[in-house]
Amino acid sequence: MREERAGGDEQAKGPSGKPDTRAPSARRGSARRARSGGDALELARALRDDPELSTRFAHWREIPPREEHSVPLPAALHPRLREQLTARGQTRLYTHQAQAIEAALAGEDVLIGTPTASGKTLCYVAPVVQRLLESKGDARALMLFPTKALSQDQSANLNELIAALGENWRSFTYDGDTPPSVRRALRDDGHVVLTNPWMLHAGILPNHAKWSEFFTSLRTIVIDEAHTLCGVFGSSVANVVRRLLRIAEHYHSRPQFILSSATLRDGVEHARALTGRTVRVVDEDGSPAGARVFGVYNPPLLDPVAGLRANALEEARRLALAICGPDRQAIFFCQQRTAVEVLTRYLKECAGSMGLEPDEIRGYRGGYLPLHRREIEDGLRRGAIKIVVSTNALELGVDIGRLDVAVLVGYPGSQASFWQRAGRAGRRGQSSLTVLIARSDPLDQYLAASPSYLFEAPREKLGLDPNNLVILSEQLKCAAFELPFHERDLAQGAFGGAPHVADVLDYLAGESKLLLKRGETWHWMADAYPAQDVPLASGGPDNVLILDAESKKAIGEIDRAGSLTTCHEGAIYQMEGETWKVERFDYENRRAYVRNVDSDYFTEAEVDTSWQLLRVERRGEREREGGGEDYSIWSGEVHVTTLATQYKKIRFYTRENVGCEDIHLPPEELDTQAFVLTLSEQSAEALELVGPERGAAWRSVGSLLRRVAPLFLRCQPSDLGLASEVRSPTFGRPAIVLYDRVQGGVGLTETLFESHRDVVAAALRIVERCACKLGCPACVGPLAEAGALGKPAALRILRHLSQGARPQPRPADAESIQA
Amino acid sequence: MDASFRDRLARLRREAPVRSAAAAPRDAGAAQADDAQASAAQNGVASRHESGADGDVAPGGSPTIASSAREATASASAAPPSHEPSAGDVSESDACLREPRTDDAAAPAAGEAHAPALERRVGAEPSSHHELPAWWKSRVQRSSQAAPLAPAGQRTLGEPGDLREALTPRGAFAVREVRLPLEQRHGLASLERVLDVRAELFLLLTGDERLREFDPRRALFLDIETTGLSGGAGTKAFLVGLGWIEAREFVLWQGFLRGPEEEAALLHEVAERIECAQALVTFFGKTFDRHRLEDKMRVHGVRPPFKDRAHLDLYHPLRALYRPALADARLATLERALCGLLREDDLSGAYAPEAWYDFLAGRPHRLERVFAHNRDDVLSLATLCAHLGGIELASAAAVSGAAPTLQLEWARLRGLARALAQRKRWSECAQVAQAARALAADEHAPELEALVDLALRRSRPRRS
Repeated sequence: MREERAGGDEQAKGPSGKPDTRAPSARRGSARRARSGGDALELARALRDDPELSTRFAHWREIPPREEHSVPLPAALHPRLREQLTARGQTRLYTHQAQAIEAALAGEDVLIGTPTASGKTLCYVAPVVQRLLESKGDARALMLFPTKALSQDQSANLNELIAALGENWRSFTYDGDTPPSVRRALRDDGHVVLTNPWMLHAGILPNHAKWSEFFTSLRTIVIDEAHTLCGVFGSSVANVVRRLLRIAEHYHSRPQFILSSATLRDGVEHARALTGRTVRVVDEDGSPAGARVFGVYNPPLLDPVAGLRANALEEARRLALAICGPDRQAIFFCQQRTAVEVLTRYLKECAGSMGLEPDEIRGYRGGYLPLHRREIEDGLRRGAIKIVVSTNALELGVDIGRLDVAVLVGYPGSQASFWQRAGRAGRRGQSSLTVLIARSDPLDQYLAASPSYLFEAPREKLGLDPNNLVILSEQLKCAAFELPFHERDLAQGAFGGAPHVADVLDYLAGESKLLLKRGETWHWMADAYPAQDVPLASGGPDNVLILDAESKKAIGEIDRAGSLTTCHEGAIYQMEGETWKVERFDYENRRAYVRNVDSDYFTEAEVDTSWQLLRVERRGEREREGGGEDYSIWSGEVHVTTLATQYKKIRFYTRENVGCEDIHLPPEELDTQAFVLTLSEQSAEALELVGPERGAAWRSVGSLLRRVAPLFLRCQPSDLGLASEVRSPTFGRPAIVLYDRVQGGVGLTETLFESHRDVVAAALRIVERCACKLGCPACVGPLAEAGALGKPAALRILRHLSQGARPQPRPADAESIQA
Repeated sequence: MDASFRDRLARLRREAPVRSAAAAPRDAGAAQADDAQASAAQNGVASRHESGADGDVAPGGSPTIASSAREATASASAAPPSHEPSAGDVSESDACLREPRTDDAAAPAAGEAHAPALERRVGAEPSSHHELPAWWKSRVQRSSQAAPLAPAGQRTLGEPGDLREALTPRGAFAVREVRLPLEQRHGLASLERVLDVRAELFLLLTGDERLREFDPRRALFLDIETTGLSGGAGTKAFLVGLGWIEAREFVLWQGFLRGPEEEAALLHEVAERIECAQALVTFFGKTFDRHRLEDKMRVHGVRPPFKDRAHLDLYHPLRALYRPALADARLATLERALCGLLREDDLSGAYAPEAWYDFLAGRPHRLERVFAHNRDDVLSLATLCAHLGGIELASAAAVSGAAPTLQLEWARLRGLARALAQRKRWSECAQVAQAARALAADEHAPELEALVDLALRRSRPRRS
């Protein structure tokens, strides 16, 4: 419950209340530049004046301070709750908190979309607790969190508040870790249940009878970090929410929603897609912020011909030496786990030059064990930790307070993430500094050249399509298992008013024989537990445990996909500057045994993804003017294999490659739907796709289509996989393969088969209107990637594809594949 | 497509359902998340059904049809998908959706008036029925589990015989009721002996005080057939077998769902009947039958009658007594060993769901054999209950009416001795353990000797 202290006097103490670790020692203060002052404006000035560093800053921008807007505790708050808040020194609320709480207490569905650390937790905790107070403990609440860690945090916080109120209500986390022996007790006594989408989907909803009392009294549904529910995963969760509401209705309850999220471009629409309700959006942040200074840092060019720049991690270290110190807390965000560990090590090794102890510098990422993470979070809040290096794990609402400086090593890939990360810097009444270090990555380089994008481009619209036919029908199976469907309910817009519900049910009854229609009702009619076979399209909590081979104790965990490249035998597993060598990886049982070693290198694994055509379902072909094939589009099924092939040993600092070995792990396999676009050899020649340039231009077109397609498919780019082949072994001609990155596929690429011309046309417009001469990340990719003739070549291809007649349906026979 | 590709495809097709089942994550999903006992239920119940061979004989005289009623899958010639241009509001929201990552100079396609009209098949308004696209059908077909192939067998058509309609405030359902004279034998044991049970043994073996007053004339024997073993809201108990004693008759009452819509009525009736009984007798019912019924009663707003009811689950005491002497503790094994019942042509419970689904779909079905299986289960509850309640503890040999083998005798004495030790009834324990020791094979002797020693030491009054 620390977040809501923001409104109290706790933070007003500022630097004066800091613990001893901050006290300057003899060694401290030897820092060379502006480290001494806490003021970010001065820090930025110093950086601009620095003869060496100033040249690396491509852009500066300052956002003026924002005043605090707060109001007294709302009158609608229950007296006992007011008493509690007052006792904690919280006599005022930020305006957004007050608005959200008042709306929620008035029964409205609310989405609170203010930045991290603006006290969002209180916005849903207060109404939930108030409902409990008003109902004398009868009301029930369900809280949905995207990760286990978040739910455990909040459970502790809630119990603290409930205990302070002197009540014996219980909130508990119900997830895969909950021991089966206590589940029954929890179901029967729990007032507030904190869980995750997977557990709700496969554990709670299919067994709703066991939760009948809970559902009967369900008053509030909280969805935290609602912006993480997007793409195919979010679309599945939206349907899980539909099932949840159907069950609540069966038990005669109509719970209200309180959603919390990052600031969204269109909160109302996102919330409607997710919950089917029209929510009141509260996103005017009333919390105060000092002036915010932004700098875009571009590492120097080492090789102008190849466009190669100094390593971003090395530059981050250099920057840290200039800006970090005992009087300031900084957070560094890296894109990869390995990068977090390497940078943590670098910074720990030069701690002395910043006037810090190595222990004041910590790494942080999802794979650390919960207690370990709690310790770091606590250190950050207390101010004992001066530097934390993190993955996106600290992008979500983990409570670490606000810091002075945020350094983003690489653009996080989306505006939403950029602002979430930047939002970690900025204390009450103090200025803050955010630096983006551009990597050699094309997109980063583009931003370094055109930084106005960062500040002017809106946050991405989140792709969410709860009516995706495959997702909908899979979820309808689960729903039909839970309760029968009646025609009259459908007429009244049951299941979120989704289209095709009756058609899908008829189909499931007629062809699939999963349902039986009797009269006006469809009944589940199969010996199966469908939720078990219907994935939510996002890994789920299926983690690999990292164990110390000596003590047999767990030191960390990692998701399954990540384990292939970080837990293979021989890998160096890094944690907070320490290196562990993986001795044995028990893939079957998801355990990696590691031994602590002093390694001067780290490892990077290479992954090989290959695909195989299983079946062609449809094909369209356009003929050349003089006859013969011009280009074809295909839809069908592919089998995608991802294999970790080998790993390189890379020395710290020098990045010298000191060895290379094979990895022996089974491949990850995916059977899914795909869309393929092929160009005939004749057309390829006519478009002058010859020589080495040809491959680059073709690949540019491929990645452009992959980037544009999600806008039409209402998904996230990460939901699509891509393979661009200049001479495809399968098709014997240039091919671009886009596939659904979900087992079985959810129809994204099927839709692409229909709308590929629109996607191609949109891609063409982007390239045509791009001001760059030779290609940039915003269009076909930077020169280094697309080649000198990449842009004109890509333009030719896109024009050719988007002009003229559409492809006509053709039989998809074996001969046409190997044309 | 070459031949090896076709082979591979065919293999994938065949493997698909198997693989998906094997790969199904059970942890997070916690299919069994919900019940501490649910996984036990699965194991226990799965093993309780015989998986043995299936006979081919249909019940007396009914028309028999040998068939494998499988239907062809979706035709490939399904209607082509329709591509309605999107409605106004859709294109508007699509327009703001398009926001390529470019700055002004790069002039994105974002928000432009001529944003491409989207051919949205997904999420478009349904204009008519049966317009679902063919690709979707093949996708759904792939992900639907194929039902296990049922062995060919003799089947009947239409409603099972001898059903009458029962009316309740929640609607109607069907009942088959037969009255058997108590003298009738089930296996080698007669039903009559259930009148002679003593509660003593039940109390000793279960520790459940509510069984002290156990009265066979007020007991209800219960066994259900369900549409699946996995639990969850979609699993139905379509046949509920109840048995009780009325005067000199054993009443076998089988409540049956002629359709899923009759569920509430049947549950209502069953709840009332349980409510009127003094005790419930089941086999593995504390783990399975009770929870299946209780869950469904909650769904239908019927008050579950189980909480304050004495419930004798024969599985646990019988297992404690006889498991060491038998291959397993399944119902079929116990009834054969203890009551001399050898079922012929028993239909494995695993085929019960299929039988009911076949019946509902109007296909030839094997429900008669499910009824017979359920009848045998309920009658075995009575004979096994009689067996357990007929064990005389007072006699040192702790004899039982049935004629068990030496192995069974030894195992039972050992089980009783251990139960007595658990209740700290040391002097009786010493006596029974000694009797067990006398019958035990050499490898079990040390264990029993230790138990005798312990019991003797504890049964002596302590000297100060």
